[in-house]
Amino acid sequence: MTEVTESKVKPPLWLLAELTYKCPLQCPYCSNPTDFARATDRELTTEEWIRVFEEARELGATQLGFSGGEPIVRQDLEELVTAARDLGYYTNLITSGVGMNRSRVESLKKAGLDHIQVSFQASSAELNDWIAGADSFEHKLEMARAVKEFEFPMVLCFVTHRKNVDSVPQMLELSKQLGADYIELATAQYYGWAFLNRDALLPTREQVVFAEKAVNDFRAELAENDPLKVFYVVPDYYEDRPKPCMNGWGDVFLVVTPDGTALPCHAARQLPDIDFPNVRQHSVGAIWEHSNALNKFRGFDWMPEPCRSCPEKEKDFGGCRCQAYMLTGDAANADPVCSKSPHHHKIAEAIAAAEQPESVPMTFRNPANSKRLIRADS
Amino acid sequence: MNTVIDKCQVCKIAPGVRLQFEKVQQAWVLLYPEGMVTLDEVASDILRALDGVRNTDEVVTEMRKQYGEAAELDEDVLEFLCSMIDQGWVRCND
Repeated sequence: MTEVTESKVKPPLWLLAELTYKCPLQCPYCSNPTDFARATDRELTTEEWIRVFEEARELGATQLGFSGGEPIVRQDLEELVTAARDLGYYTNLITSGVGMNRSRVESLKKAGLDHIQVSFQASSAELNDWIAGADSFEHKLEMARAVKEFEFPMVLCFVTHRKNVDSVPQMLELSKQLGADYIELATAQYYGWAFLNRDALLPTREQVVFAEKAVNDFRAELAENDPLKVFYVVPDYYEDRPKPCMNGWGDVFLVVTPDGTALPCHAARQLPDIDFPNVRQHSVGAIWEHSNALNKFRGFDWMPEPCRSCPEKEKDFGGCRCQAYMLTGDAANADPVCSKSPHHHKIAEAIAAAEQPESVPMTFRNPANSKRLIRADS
Repeated sequence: MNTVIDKCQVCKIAPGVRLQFEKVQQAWVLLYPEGMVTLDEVASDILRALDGVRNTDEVVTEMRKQYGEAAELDEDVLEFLCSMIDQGWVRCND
């Protein structure tokens, strides 16, 4: 790490607090690591989380996301929300709605929570409950209504993939009926469980084109002054330039996992040879500004070709380090989504596989499968 | 969207959106679900003048006190507020 790099470190504007890996659902595209079962009994305490919030706020963090797992599982969630609001954070709860009830929505409102994002797995009970691995659709509907009853701004999030993307029009319609302020059609990103299940989840090109058109048609039909906003991003596998992942490593985003590990994104824990620091041993400031892990891919000096001499490197930062590692074996390589990458054919191969008739079984995200994967890995 | 507002309308920061001063950035920011925008001085002055009581014309008058009698001021303030409404960060009564 050089002095020059250090002086350029900006504040971590976004702090994502993964409060727990516990979750009543089993979504096969979960971004949690597949070996999450290793860390389920080492959760940070209320006091430890509040210290993390204080330290990150001092650095300039403004957005705080409560995530998981399912964050509502934490009985101290209201206490954490109150502390975060007192510190001046804009507080976001990212929940499946399962495990929530009307009185917790009310107590979260009293605690000062600013916004709730409720995820759905599909627009119909049958598909939703199959993907979630639990009967949950009706309860989600109830919770979305409770969120609006208590006048929270509400984002409804659908993770889209091969199994549900054909019903994007119904997802949009349902969201409108439920009074969503924002609709997020979040294409499954192929990390963690989603990478494991990629061949079953990657949509075909035809599906991608259909979904994009459905979004554009829906937007066009909204009344001129309708404040409803739809976010939809084409899966990066179907682009020929990589996404500016996290706006660059260690630029604005900091994740703290249930056991206190600090990461530049949800997925980085899998990268080898990086010793990710823990908030139990170090302050957030020391981690953000001085740790080798957060400095590893900051700036541009670490880049090999074709990124090093690429005129677009300041726009996309060479894409995603985790995707580069998973598909090429070296996290410093160009994200193979980029057509300039010598490994770009791996993306083409995955897309070609997606065109095959589906017969691939999915591994659902649950502690039993996580433990099985840990055993298989050792 | 191309929102048009009238000078007698009252605008205010939309529900769920927060305007606050950030010490580290030494700037006013707007915070909304999962996002933030850092405001320059003029933008923050206009938004801070939206007290839910004063109408747009009175906000313009307030800005004139601070920024002088520039001819385009009315238009600039209205245009800025319309763009904020289009983003969903400001709401306006009918």
